[in-house]
Amino acid sequence: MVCVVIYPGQTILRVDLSRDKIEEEELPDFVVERFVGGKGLASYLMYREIKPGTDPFSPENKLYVFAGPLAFVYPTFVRAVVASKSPLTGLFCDSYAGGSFAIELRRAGYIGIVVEGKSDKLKCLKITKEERKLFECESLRGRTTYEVGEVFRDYSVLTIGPAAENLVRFAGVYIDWRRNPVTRPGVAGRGGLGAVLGSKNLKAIVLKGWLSVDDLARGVDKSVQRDLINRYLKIIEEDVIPGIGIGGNLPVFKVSAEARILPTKNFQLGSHELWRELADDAWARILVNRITCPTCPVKCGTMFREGCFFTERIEYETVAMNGPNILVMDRRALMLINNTLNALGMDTITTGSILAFITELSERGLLKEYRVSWGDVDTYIKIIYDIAYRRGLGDLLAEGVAKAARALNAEEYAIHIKGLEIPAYDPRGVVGMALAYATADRGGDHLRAWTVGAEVTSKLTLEDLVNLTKYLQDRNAALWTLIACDNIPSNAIRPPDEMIRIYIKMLNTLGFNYDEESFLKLGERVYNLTRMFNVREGVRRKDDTLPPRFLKPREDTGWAITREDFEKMLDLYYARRGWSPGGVPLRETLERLGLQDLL
Amino acid sequence: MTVIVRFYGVLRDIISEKLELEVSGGEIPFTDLVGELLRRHPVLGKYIMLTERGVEVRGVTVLVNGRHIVFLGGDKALIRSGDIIDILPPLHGG
Repeated sequence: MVCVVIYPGQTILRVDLSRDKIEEEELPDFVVERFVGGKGLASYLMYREIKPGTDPFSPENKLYVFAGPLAFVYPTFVRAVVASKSPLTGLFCDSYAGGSFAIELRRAGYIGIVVEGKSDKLKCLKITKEERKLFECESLRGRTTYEVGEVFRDYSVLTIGPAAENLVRFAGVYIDWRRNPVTRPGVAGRGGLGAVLGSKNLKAIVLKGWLSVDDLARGVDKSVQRDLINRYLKIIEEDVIPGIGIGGNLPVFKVSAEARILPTKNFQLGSHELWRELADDAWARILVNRITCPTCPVKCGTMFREGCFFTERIEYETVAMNGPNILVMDRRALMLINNTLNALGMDTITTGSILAFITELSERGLLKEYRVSWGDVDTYIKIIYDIAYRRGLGDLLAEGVAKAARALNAEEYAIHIKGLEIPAYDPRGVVGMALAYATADRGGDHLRAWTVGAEVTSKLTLEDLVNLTKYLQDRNAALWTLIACDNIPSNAIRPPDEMIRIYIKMLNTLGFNYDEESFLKLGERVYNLTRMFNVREGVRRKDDTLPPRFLKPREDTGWAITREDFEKMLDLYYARRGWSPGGVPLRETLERLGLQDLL
Repeated sequence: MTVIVRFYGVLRDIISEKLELEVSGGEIPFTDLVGELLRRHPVLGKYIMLTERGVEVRGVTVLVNGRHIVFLGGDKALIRSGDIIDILPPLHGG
């Protein structure tokens, strides 16, 4: 491949907090050609720079914030990826957030920022046309994500809340959180990447870009660019906006409840009789505004008000994990939990899983410190604060459900894979999701392969189910190099094939040379690289497994995944991937993907 | 023989919550059952297709007595009297 443009998609900013140094660095052509941007570049640098066995909270761990090459040049490519070795799992982790940060980063001339080392004092990083500097910000210690957003109201703000400062292992990274925001705020919530920033004493990155679209698209044929934008916006208008419903992925709630895969009482059941109280129709009645990320026409950000309760944005996962999963079937209570978690800066999926876990333990008489009943909102709020400030049992719960379960000798009630609490879809019916969860590169995650979507036709065979999982994992890894928004292909009412072809053409206007086959191979390359990161940390077949609860029939439907069936599926998956029966990519696989010289 | 087919989500809205299908013989391949379902409810064809490759689906999950059908032989799985078939719709979003 020959790259003729790629400007300024090769420049990164390396920020060393130990030495108080900021340096620009140019990535080599061959790296950009092979890994493109976003997840690709972050994974490449992570593999190269983070030594196996590194403590995620040590100065030697690094955190990567990357945009994709299409940001700002083409609409909707607004997501930033935050990636690091996760303090929750000890493995590779990438998490994505909308908002203005990726665009402003590109407008500042950078494709990514690498944060390394550790500062003695709490600092902020500021990037403007005039200066790039680290400055002390002790006055922001303990401030919420909203408060930091307000302090830097004129900037794009990536920040952490008090939970991350206190090294809660599932503290997230928050972009543009403000009261009454103009553009949609974003959260890179999963895997505790905010706590990595907390460990480095970096409270926020604030930036304001200055480059124009023409600066970023220098050398791009304007008529081709315009044509691609028009074609893409037409697809968005016809296929995506009608499928997004009221936004926030909230329409999924009804589908999950009716399909009986809605997590209820710590995944003991698959639906709840009051589910309509939390379905999109109920939220639609209190919808006050919809907002969107810069350059995006979709408006998936939802703002709700009911009485004195108001929330800027709430998602399906938050509602399901902190709703039926802990038997809170009240919208106002959910808004309170959502706001509290967003202000303190904690992942709503993990927190919902932990609250369900300790409620079940309490119900079974296995917990002394808290007496908590299902749906006990006041106690849940207290526990959330105890976790954020590491008080009492909250200190243990701040370690995540896997470590807490080990300490409490209660692993059979902990719903996680590789330490990452799984999201809000019970896989005992939809078995394809079980394989997707178990083989996701960041632990229990549904976004790598959404095998239950209607976007691909497949045969009703085990082979096709496995092929579908691999295909979606590879495709999404490729899309996250750009970085395409998850809310767009997954909510399209028709298969997104044409959309992806347009993405590839957009990429090629910047000097790349991909076709559909090589683009999919790019995703496979990235997926194998992240696997190798995890293999280096000791991950093998034994880790690609399911929580014990999912291997037993569910009491309400009898749906089950047997160990035998699951292992059979895993055998086929490894073979299809070109991995050994133990789950390690084979040498010939790495060679085929052009990874051998890297590894 | 009688087979019970339960539908969920949008499929329940457009077909029924539960069908009790009377089919001839002691056991039939799932492919034949799909043919019968499509004959009675052509609207199902949006989600489940009968092609020369066999049964093809778009995001649909099929369980036989609580077990995913891919572990029972896929569309060649034999359905017996009294079996309960759960058909889950594709899930939009994610």
